[in-house]
Amino acid sequence: MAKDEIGTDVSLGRITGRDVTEIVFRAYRNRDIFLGEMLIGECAEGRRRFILRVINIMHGSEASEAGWAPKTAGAFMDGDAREEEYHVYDADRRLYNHVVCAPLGYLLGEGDDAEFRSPKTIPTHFSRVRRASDRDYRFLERYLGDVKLGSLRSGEHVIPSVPVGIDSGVICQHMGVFATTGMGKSNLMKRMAGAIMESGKAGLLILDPHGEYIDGGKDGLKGLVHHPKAGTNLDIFVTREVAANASDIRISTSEIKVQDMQNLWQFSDPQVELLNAVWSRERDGWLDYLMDNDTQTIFQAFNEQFHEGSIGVVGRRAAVLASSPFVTRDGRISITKTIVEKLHQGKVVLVDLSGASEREELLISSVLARAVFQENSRLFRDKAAFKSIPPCLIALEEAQRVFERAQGGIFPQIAREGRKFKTGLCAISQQPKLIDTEVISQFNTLVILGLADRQDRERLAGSARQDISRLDYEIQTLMTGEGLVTGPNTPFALPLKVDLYETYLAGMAGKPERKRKSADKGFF
Amino acid sequence: MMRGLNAAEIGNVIDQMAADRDGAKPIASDPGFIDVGGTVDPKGFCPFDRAGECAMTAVDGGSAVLLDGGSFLIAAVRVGSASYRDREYLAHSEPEFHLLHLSAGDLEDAYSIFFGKTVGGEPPDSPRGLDEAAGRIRTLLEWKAVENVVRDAEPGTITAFDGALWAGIRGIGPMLSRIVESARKKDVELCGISKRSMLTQHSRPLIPAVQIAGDGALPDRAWHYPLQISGYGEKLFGEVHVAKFHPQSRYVFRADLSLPDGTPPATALGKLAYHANDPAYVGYPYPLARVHNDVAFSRSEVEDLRSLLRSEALRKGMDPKEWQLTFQDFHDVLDKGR
Ligand SMILES: Nc1ncnc2c1ncn2[C@@H]1O[C@H](COP(=O)(O)OP(=O)(O)OP(=O)(O)O)[C@@H](O)[C@H]1O
Ligand SMILES: [Mg+2]
Repeated sequence: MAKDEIGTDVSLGRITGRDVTEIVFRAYRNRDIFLGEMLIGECAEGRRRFILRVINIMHGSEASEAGWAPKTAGAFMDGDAREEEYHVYDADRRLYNHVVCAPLGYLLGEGDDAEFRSPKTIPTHFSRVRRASDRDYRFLERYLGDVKLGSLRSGEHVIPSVPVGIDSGVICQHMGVFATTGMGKSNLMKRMAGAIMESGKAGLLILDPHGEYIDGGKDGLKGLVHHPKAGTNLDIFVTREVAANASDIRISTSEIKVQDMQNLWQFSDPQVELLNAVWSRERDGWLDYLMDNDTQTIFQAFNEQFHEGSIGVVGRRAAVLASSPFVTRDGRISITKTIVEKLHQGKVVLVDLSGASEREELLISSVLARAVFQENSRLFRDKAAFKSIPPCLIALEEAQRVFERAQGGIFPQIAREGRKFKTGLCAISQQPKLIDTEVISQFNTLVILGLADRQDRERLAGSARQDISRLDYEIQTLMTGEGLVTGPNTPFALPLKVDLYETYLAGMAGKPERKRKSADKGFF
Repeated sequence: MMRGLNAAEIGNVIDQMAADRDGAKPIASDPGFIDVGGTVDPKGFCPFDRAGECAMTAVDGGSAVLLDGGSFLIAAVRVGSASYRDREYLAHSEPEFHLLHLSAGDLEDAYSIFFGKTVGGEPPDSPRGLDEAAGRIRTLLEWKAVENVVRDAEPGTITAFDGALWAGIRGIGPMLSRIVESARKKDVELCGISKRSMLTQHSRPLIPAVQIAGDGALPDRAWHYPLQISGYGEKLFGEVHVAKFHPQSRYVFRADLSLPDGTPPATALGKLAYHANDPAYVGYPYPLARVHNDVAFSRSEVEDLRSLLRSEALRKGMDPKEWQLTFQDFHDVLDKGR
């Protein structure tokens, strides 16, 4: 067996037992083994290669006497107090580590023909355990996804030869990106946008409330404009002045729905009734109507059906919306149509909402998402036209704000119905526990980065395509940029290390065939 | 296969068993305590320091009665050694393993074969009983192993074994002289360490009395206490000490030393002390613990051997029922002789 170097055939120990759900092996005490590492349990005669993921590591010793270890530790401590040295003789024989693994499955056969099976049996007695090598990972190629996000990870080790991503074929089945703050959600989104700009196989709408995607936001960070394909495959819409080639955001009052308003404020039942009544009569003109008419006029127009107080509240709120600099009555200057067209061309559309208030941001997000969804569902009736559009993915930060309930609003609706209409959601959140379980279960692909909160992890464990409950401790201990991907096509929760976007860009710049377009891109 | 066992031996002992089925002779033993008299002198304790890096080889034997048929028994004896240079284990040869078939009828013959192979010549007496025979054979093999280790040892290596440096079996004096002489010539310190001792003082166990006095006289030190013993007569081949090998040790041991000319006891004991600081065996030279564990028979080994013997007997035509009736009280002998 070859010597050392991570990712080669290093013998780590031998299996001692347990069952189909859990395999334990005795490991050399001096070989580093880390939580989350993927190892191979090689059956006698090479019949099967079991893929094992480390879920726990414990001390073991050959001493048969109970309490041997604490007693020995006591002797050491006693020695420390007296500056006495102690030496454990035959330590490699007497001391070892117990490594507990979750079997992920096993491989039958070799090379490209290797077949993956779920773990319905156990390895042979005393099977040798070693680190997995490229040869073992080869079977994964068919599961790794074409939208590359990073590399396979085994515990702390990154395996650059095995790229990991998500499958563009399933992005309309929605995805969720979850991590505690600072663990790398935004970086992941930039990396994903980069992959989509490279491939042009999907339309990606990024709704950026923090204004961090254009140029990275901070010193040392890069943004989407720095991508070599930005010149052709990126379009930017803004709510503030930026030093980039970008268009201002305008949505029209006719694109705003009663539902959108309900997402922004709490309304009493009579107020909701009023809103619906105005909608029934005025349709797309409902908001203009509320703005153009005073309380008394409306009161009369609806036969004094509604209390003047209600009319006052609804009217004032309508005025707040209408007074937003991003809202216009002139349907012709709305940018929603343009955005949908860009998405249909397989472009990345970045909507920087950092210049908007939170209400405006949610309003614009809803209007844009609805525009995409409605246009795609309209095209659905025209087979040829529908076939020609790429899948569209709408990425939304702080997604817990719109997914607290499974009903109400355009986002839950897209979560339920979007997949049929090539409209996928990418929900980004640091608090998945606030997202309705039913909504989460609609997210077929989950990218889970480090999550410190137990309730957050539990919420996801209940919905993931693969069983991740055994990985709870691993998820808790993930470092920035480390994560797990579960999806309809992954054989098990795939561990990955997301590329740092800046490193990814540097790597692209090194590629000989790069076409630099950014020179004619405004200030960049 | 089991450490050191030659599979053919299973067949041999079964053949012997089949060949003779005889009556048993009574078993007797004479542990014999030796009383040192006098009192423990608090001024007699000598502190000593731990030596620096040094080599040590330890020898020990283990035995187990596998089957007791009343008039005969089948026992296993295993003798081995463990060598350490500084604190690293050195590769070593396989332990020596014997399966013994001992029956009242041919006890003398069996014993004299082993005596001849180890001491040389004819034994002056024979063991009284099967258990004693097994015990003596183990002792002979242990001495033979010590002799071999001394022969192969590098100068300056301390060679230790489990027991005392005295001729506990009639007729082995010449062999012990031989060993002691060769060790002295090779500049090898020879040391027997006894976990239990037959020494008494006014009919009370001596070692605990010495330990209490020593811990009072030299707390937090390693010490040794030389004993003057006359009771052994010609049979003693070294000087006897009670020694504490580690300041924090909870145990003290009888140490029988035979040293090269000019080597003070503290030098040899210091080397043992160097090896007596494994945190799990504080105060006991670790190589002795290792070799003890290597040669001792575990319960599962005893059971495996028993079943190997049984299958071989049945294969050779023995009726399972006869086997069962012959050894039916074998639960009583589980672990006997360990
Ligand atoms: N894959 C990665 N590899 C290395 N470092 C990373 C990676 N992802 C993120 N980082 C580092 O962590 C920092 C924070 O990452 P990021 O802004 O993506 O986190 P976030 O989860 O979006 O945080 P927030 O909750 O504040 O939005 C980055 O600036 C970068 O330095
Ligand atoms: Mg972020």
